[in-house]
Amino acid sequence: MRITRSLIERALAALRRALERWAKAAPLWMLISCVPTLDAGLSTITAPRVLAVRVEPAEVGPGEAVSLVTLVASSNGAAPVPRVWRCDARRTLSESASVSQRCTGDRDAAALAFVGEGERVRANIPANACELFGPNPPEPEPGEPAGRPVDPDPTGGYFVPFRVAIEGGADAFAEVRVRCPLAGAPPSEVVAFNRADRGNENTEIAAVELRSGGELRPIEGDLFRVRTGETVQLSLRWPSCPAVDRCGDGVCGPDDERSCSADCATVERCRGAERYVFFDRATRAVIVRRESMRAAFYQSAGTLKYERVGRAEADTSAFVQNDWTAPAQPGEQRLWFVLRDDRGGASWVTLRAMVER
Amino acid sequence: MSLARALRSSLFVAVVLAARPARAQRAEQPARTPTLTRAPTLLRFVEATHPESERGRAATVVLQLRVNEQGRVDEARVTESAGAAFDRAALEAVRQFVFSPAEIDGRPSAVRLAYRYQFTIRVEAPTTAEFVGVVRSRNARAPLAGVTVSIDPTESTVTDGQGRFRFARVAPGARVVSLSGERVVVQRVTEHFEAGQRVEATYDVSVTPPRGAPRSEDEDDVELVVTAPPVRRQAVTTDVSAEQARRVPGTQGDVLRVVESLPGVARATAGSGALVVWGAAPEDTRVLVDGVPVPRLYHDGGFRSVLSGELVSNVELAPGAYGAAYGRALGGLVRVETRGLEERGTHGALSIDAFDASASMRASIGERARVFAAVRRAHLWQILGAAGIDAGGFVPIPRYGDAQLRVGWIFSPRERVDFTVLLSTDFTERSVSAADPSRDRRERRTLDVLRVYGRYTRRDDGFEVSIVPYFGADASASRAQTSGVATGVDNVTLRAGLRASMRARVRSWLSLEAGIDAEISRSELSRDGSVSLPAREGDVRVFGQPPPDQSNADRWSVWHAGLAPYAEATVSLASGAVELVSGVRVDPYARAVSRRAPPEGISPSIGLFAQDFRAEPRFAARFRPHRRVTLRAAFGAVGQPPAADDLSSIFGTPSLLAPRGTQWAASAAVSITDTLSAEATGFFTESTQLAMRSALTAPLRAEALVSRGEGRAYGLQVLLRQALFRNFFGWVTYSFSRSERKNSPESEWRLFDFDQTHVLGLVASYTLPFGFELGARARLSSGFVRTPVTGSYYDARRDRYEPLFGPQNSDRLPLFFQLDLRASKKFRIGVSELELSLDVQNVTAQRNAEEFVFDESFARREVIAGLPILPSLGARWTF
Repeated sequence: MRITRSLIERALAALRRALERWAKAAPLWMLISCVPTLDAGLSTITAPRVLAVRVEPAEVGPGEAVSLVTLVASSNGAAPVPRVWRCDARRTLSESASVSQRCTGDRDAAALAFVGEGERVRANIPANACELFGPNPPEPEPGEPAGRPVDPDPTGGYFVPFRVAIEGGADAFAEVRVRCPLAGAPPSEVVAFNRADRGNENTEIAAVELRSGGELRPIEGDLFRVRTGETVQLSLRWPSCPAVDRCGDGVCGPDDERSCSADCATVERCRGAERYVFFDRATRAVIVRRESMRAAFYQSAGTLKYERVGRAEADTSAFVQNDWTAPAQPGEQRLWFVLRDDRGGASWVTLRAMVER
Repeated sequence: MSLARALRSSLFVAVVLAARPARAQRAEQPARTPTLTRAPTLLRFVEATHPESERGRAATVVLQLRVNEQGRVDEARVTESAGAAFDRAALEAVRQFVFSPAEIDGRPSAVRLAYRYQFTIRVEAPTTAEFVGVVRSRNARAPLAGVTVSIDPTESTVTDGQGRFRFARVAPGARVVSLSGERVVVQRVTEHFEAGQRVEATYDVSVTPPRGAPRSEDEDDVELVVTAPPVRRQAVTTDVSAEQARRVPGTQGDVLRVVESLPGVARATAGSGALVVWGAAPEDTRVLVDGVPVPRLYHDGGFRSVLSGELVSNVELAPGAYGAAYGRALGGLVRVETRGLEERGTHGALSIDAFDASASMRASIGERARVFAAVRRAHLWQILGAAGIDAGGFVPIPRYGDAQLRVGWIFSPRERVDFTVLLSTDFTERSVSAADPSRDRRERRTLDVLRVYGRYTRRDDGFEVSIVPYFGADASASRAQTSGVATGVDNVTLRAGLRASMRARVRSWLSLEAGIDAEISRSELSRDGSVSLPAREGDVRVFGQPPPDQSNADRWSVWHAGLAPYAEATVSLASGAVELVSGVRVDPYARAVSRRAPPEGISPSIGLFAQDFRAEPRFAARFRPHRRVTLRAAFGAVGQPPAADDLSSIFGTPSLLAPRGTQWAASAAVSITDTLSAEATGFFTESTQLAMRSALTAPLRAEALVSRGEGRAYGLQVLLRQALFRNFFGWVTYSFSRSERKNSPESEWRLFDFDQTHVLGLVASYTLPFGFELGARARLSSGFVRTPVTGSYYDARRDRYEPLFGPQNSDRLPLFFQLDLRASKKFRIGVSELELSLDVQNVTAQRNAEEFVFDESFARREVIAGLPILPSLGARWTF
């Protein structure tokens, strides 16, 4: 066969078309084949479940006492009573989970200390919490030098884990943020840190708004009314924390101790996205950051647009929005909204929705 | 004892038969009897050739000669025959005789005389050797006519139509044999000749196309079968020529991706490009390009190798038990040999497929200078972008590129030098956003590699020197953000090295090799994030598990220096039936780490200096009980320095010990035909002082890792290989292996994370008429090892679930099967050639499990399937 210029051009054009077709189709195959859809449907409560644990106060020192308040949800409203243990085991470096496996699964009596049962339990933080779970060197083995301290979480925090069990539901772990000294930092940074560190505060849901067709839907107590299949817009608002400390704003921020000690006299702190001091281990300097916020939404029935909505550290907005579509069947449904900050603070709101035709 | 030809013992019988004058006598003169006053004397004797058909026979031929006045023989006839062959030989010889003219009556006159020529047998001690052989094209195995075969180089001959040549008498000793021809790249080998012996050789040489013609399959492999001193292959090795490698389906024509299909190599996770050889960790297998270490063989995604196939001559995989020249690797060895650029003229290649496009050019400048340049760039991500498809969220689309530049100078056919620059760059990014920013997933990886090296080689009679100095820079950066946890690792490493070797055949039965392998590097590293992330071998994790969020940061630097002299002796016994290779590599190495303990306040950092010394004996034996059977056994002690990444005082241990190991292998190979062979290899490797995470709940400071791990792997690999024969080549390979690890000497053996017990592979390629070619590759292998998930708990602070695990590595992904096909067609376009190919991976659309994936609560499990069917249309234009 004689090869001519036109034949070559036709062949190249065909090749180009084939490549274009492949380019459009192949990645779709890749996507479809590689990513199975595994929606756990965790926003719908079908069985008793621990949704959140609030620690009061949100941050304490070693040897101090805290209250652990557990939010247990169930589809029928009859929540089982939680039982709480403190986990005294430290996880090894090869364990990738958040707590030691000695405290999970079959309980290791030596690693778990029973605290109590009930929606609210009082627990003591061990005096050696900063050695067990913090930056202080742990007790050395005989003849050995002191071991490796625990690394902080991304917000610089150290935590004591608590196991929360309920009848008929999966175990949960709560963690209490412990105030430990800043370790390994230059003295000047330690001074700066200690002067500006305020500790964490739990979040607060300042308001819940429901809108339908642009109109505000009233909430009577914890009850609101909605039609079957109707979609309402949910808005969760939290206190807006100042981006810069100003003397006289009544909020004790990181810089107030130095510039406006009066604001910190009442130890009134913002319950929104707080600013806090953080020792950056990469630059080995203390910096000021802002908490990120995230809200989790749960329902007994219906459809939520998102299971979770959040605001990043750089986002100063003090609200999140979500859509909830009521189920097709009338009846009373429950909604739970949990607001967390990334330092361990939590709060929640529970509503009842009367779904009507 | 040999038969000698009849020589000059001819018997001259000077019998004057007739003394008649040659001229007519005058009639008027009175008649008188002429008198022979001077008899003719033989001045020039010419030896008759002993007829080949009469070898071993003696004979005598009596002839009548007429010698003219000038003493020349102008007539000869047989008067007493000894047979036609003898008669003819004798007549031919005597016609060339020269006599002093006879004189009759004092005047020169013609005379007739009788001559008895005797053919005798004489037995002599041999003083020369006979040398016969065949010259063939390397890949097609076709005989080559017109190739000039020279010895030393005063003697030469040209191959006949069957590619045959013959030298009847070759002086004993080592002689350089040269092969040259219009389309044959000049090659030289040294052969050893012994008096009285017949040496037979087959030379498979590369053939370049005629000027302006498209490249042929032969030109990619420039290696002679016989070189001198012999290039000793590793005891257990599989090598594939570049051209055959390019034709393997599933590789998209990438020469180096054939390594995935070789025996002893486990299947890598789709898109990873990791090499798991004989159960060793991917980072324990070393990749060398012309002896220069490179950090990886493939770009991100595993679609493409980091080196242009146009520069590759052949690739060799030695899974273990290699020679003393190589070290600093607990696992296998991938040796990539590049082309020597012997060709003249200007040649080039352009390739394009769905993944990338590449171009290469090589040219000769004058008689001695050569230059090669190649460049490649990925474009899949751009095609997807142009098509408006955002696939980068879940499937990272690699962006890669590489370039090579080589300048060479050929001092002589025996001596050359070249300088090479290798560049490779990778960039991968993916990002998945969520309504909750803490659920965002972002990942970004870059790796830039630079290598600059020179290569000087000189080959003389039984002697070869190679010197390769190199400089390199590797810059890698990896940053990820998952579940609100940021991690990052940066590493900039500068390295320089020298690899020099000298091989010599000091006796016909003894070859020696000595060399040095020196390397020095400086790494600047920084890392932040969790100690437990990224996961390392031995960690119990599952895909999709949220990362640990305890974070730290560190900056450190590491100096590594290693100077490894080595020596190796190869002894051939029993006419080469037995070959023993004994060597030793002495590998002292030192390292300096900038910080031996985590930073504390404003205390200055105290560094750490450590040194290590190890002598690594290597031994290999080969026995050929039959010309078609070869038995081999090999042993080697190996070691490697700890990775610079593991020497952080926060994330690792600055005082880590160097892992060590031993490798054993034994194989039996049978050449069933000249092109079909079978080989079975058993192996056992063990390693100690492996870096593992500390199992203590409170490990000592600066001891996050401990050198207490142990490993072992054992298995059997079988290879049935058909070399190119009647347009077909292929192989079937099966590997059985079991690879295990212990986290410490006290713990139990468990399966290695990369264990793959069964791997069955098939590769076949057939060339059809009219430029068509078909190929197939099939792979069947065990699934990857995984740890089962038995339950989960809810982490209320982080609002996520964490899995509970069963026994470590006690589960597996399902069996893997994949069939790939390749079809191609070559078109001649003037003086160039265009090859269109269609490479279809997984033609059966088998839903292979690449990973287990769980729902958020770890209650349901599914599998992530590999690519179902992936066609790739490619074009390659060469000139």
